[in-house]
Amino acid sequence: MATVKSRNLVGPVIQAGEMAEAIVEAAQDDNPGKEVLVSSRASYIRIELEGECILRRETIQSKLGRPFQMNEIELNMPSFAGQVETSDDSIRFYYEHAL
Amino acid sequence: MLERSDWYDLARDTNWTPKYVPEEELFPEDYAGSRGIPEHIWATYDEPYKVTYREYVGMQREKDSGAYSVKAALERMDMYTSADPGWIATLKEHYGAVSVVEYNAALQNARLLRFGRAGGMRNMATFGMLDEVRHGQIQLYFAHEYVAKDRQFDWAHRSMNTNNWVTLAARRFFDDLMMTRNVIDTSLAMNFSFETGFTNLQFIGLASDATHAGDFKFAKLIQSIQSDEARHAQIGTPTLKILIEQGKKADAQRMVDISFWRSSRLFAILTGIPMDYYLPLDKREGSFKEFMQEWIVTQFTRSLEDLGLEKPWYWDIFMRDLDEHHHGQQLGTWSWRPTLWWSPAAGVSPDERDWLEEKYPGWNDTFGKCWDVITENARTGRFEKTVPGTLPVICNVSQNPIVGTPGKTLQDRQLTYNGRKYHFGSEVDQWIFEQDPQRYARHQSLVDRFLSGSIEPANLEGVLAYMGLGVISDGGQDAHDFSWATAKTTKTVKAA
Repeated sequence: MATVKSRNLVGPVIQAGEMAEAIVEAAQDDNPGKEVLVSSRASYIRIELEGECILRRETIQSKLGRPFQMNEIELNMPSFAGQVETSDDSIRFYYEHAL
Repeated sequence: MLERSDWYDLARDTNWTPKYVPEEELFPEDYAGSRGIPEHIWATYDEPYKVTYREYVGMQREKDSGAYSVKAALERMDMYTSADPGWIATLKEHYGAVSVVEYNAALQNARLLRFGRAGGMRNMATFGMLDEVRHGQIQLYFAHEYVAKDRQFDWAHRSMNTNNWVTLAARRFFDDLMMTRNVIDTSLAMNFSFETGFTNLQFIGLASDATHAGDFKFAKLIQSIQSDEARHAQIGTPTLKILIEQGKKADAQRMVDISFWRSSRLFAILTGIPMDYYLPLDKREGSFKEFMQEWIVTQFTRSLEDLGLEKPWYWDIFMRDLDEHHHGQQLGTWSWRPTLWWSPAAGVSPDERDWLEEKYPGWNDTFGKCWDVITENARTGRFEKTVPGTLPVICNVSQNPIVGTPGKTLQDRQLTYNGRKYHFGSEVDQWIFEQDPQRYARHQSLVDRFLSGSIEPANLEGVLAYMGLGVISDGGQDAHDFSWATAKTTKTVKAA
């Protein structure tokens, strides 16, 4: 499983499926210049970015091709790494203190 | 239209100034755990994961219809008949240990929503309470489908009302951390340590194994549950921030240290044993230790440090434990299978032993030696010798049998307190006892009950009946009827 990785990786854990693909793509668009690490398991994927990961409602909506309310992410997100901040238009995962 | 952020803070702020009673009567310290931190400080509690009632109801409806429709769609697939007995054991253990406890978690959240000083905490706990009621209902419903096939599934509903030793251990855990602490302590112990940390192992890690095992219903069910936990687990985070800002870091650290250890011991049995022994070899996503590395050692510990706490003082002991504790508990629970409400898999066929040796180097020379003897007895038909003739020594904190690596770390730590002798499975369990002896001193383990004469008749039959075996259902037998004892090595296929 894990090799030596940065200790500052944050991001959501998403149930495998349609939403998982949309969120991986949104993570790439919403966090320009950052590498998006994706690890897959049978029932979930783990999306990880260094230090901070922002996901925007509009980006996910366009990836899904249907209306999307930000809080709907909860339907497919059983866990996440980092601290979280939620708003109407985005969700943000972050660490306050980089190691 | 107004955005949620325009009105949320105002709407959830239900604090008022009491006129008829003093504040300390409205929020008694034993319940509120305010620690002298004043009202205006608690008012700064800023819940990071915000949700409104309207959003909540819509989401939960979606979650339920998702899980129930998967169940309905798969009803005809009859996963059950073709499932490996090891997977069935996993389901029975899970439902018996978890389903009814969810209602206790609803009570815990209800205390938070009454005695929490912060409006934000009370708002999140309202949803947390409803979440936990849903978890109780849905898991009882999913388990009920199997009762007609196998009476052991009845333990989903009944276990928490019995004196089965596994129940005594689980109930003692939840009584200690969830039911009898003030809302600040319990939000650190349960919402923070237990739910942002350990429940991920059972409700997400095991979902992957369930998917491999073809049990999509169970996978969907438990991930749906954890999506609630991910939200209301965040109740503990702002609590922790306020305590640290107010100079109460040591107090918070102590509570996390206690709950982290107790959780790790509980999940070694609940998750560790099924992942490394019950699940058919070709269905395993990873080892228990690997899941612990992912969810606890990496994800949870990093958050802990980001919030300003430190790794528990017993970190080295914990890391050593990852390589051994659940192996010892597997030896114990499998051997004492007549006392279980499920039929456990041994999980030690030649191929499975190769896997264990690969994941836990040195396993063959330690735990493997014990299984050599058991395997030989099974192979030669001396089945009676595979069940121990004596009672195990039980830890007076975890209430689990005291185990260790045979010949290396097996140690019964003892302490005399007010004239009674107590046993501990580790230095950390003893430390927890010493933090608050009154909390633990009066509890009677199953062995204490047996020795004090409260179990009649005082023989194996009496003990089993006392624990509900032969009453609710028969106790466990070897899941695979010892076929593993005579199995030959196949060409080992390494799990991904």
